[in-house]
Amino acid sequence: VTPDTYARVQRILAKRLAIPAESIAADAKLQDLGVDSLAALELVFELEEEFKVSVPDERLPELGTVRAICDGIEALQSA
Amino acid sequence: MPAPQPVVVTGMGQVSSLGTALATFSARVLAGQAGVTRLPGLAAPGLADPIGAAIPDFDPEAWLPARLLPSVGRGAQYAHAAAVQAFTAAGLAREERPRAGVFVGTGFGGIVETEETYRRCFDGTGQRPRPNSIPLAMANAPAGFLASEFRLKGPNLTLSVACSSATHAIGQAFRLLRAGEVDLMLAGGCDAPLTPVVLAAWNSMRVLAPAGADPTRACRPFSRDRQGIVIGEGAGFLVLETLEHARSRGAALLAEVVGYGANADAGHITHPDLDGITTCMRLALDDARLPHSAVDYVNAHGTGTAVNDRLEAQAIAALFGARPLVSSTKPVHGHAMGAAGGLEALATILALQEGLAPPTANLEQPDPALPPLDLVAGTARRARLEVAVSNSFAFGGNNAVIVLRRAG
Repeated sequence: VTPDTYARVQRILAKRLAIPAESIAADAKLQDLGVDSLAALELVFELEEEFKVSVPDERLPELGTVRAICDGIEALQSA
Repeated sequence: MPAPQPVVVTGMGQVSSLGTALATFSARVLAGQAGVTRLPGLAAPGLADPIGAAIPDFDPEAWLPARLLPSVGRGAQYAHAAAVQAFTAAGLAREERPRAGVFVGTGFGGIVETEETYRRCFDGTGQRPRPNSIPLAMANAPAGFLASEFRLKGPNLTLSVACSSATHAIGQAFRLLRAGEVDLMLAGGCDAPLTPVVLAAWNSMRVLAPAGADPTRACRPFSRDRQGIVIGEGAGFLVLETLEHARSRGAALLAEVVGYGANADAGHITHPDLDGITTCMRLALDDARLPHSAVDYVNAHGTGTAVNDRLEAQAIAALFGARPLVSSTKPVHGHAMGAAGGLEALATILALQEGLAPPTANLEQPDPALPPLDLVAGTARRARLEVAVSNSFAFGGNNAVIVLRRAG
């Protein structure tokens, strides 16, 4: 995962959750950060806009941690 | 059939152009001090100089954590802030209550969010609607949110009945309580109609009062020179309980709800009907089992349009004569649409509590064409107020009237 991807994901999450970006660890689980099912959809929506990717439905369950989100985005970008 | 349960008000809260605390609302309603301003930032097509009773000091983060705000629409934020005040004033903790419900009146639902979604989709930039567009825009979002926040697991309904929405919400909650089906209800209304499209659409109907030199003077119900409505927004909520439930927990009683009338003109979609509104007030008094002579104060619908005020004055005079004090508080908090009946229920209860009928602000020259009424103008009138009526008449030919009695 590039530092750029990580920083951008962190920034979007931080804004959404109204917490400092630096408090979001790479292995933090979205559920533990208070992201419910609807908020998760909002988050994916914002990531799609930010990274100009389209996250297929079947990939959604994989996006459980910040690191998994970054991995998933970079995989989609290089696909 | 169980015996009818007396129903009491044990908490109230509001947000409006008069502030986000009951004390400021009370002081300004009784002083007739309008919260109407120019809204230069609001680009309403066709409306050169928009005005409204907006809420300048509303800080959403003072009421809800920032992370929740993207999922809570403007109207729901107002409703929540008002309900927090009402719940706190009633001395209620947030705990699971299977026999407590929420009835919310709203005319426009999630209109702020609907307009934003439409703008995204149709402004030519090719944006998609956000995933939370539906839960933000749906009319019942505030009611659902209040139930979740306060853990109220009883009946949860949203009544969208234009300008009488909140009065119906209170009236229907009253009926459920009186029948003993629930112990406690959070009831009132919320609306956030100060949007570019809504304001412009009202302007196209030619019912908005022009700004003039001083927008606080724009809305003048019952005046010879009345010139239309000023739109407001906000929320007004009551905690209603059966007397038995309120007593069991030692709650202070603010007022009693004793009657509710609901009917339809079954006539024109926007033009009020004299027989319809007269009948609705009569139904409410009959429901309260009170003679017409018992009414001491009428908080009129009093929009400030030529037609409403004329017909409402005729209806009041026909039923009650010139005995009760009559005023409209819409010049101060604006016509808050679906929230109007909530704010006006609060104003009516404050009047009963204080023994002070609030004035109709800006009423300097009563319309001589109106039948004789004891219109309160200038300053609040001190009087012994036992029974009061709050009127709400809506587009759709839909009427709602509640009857309130001083506690104790």
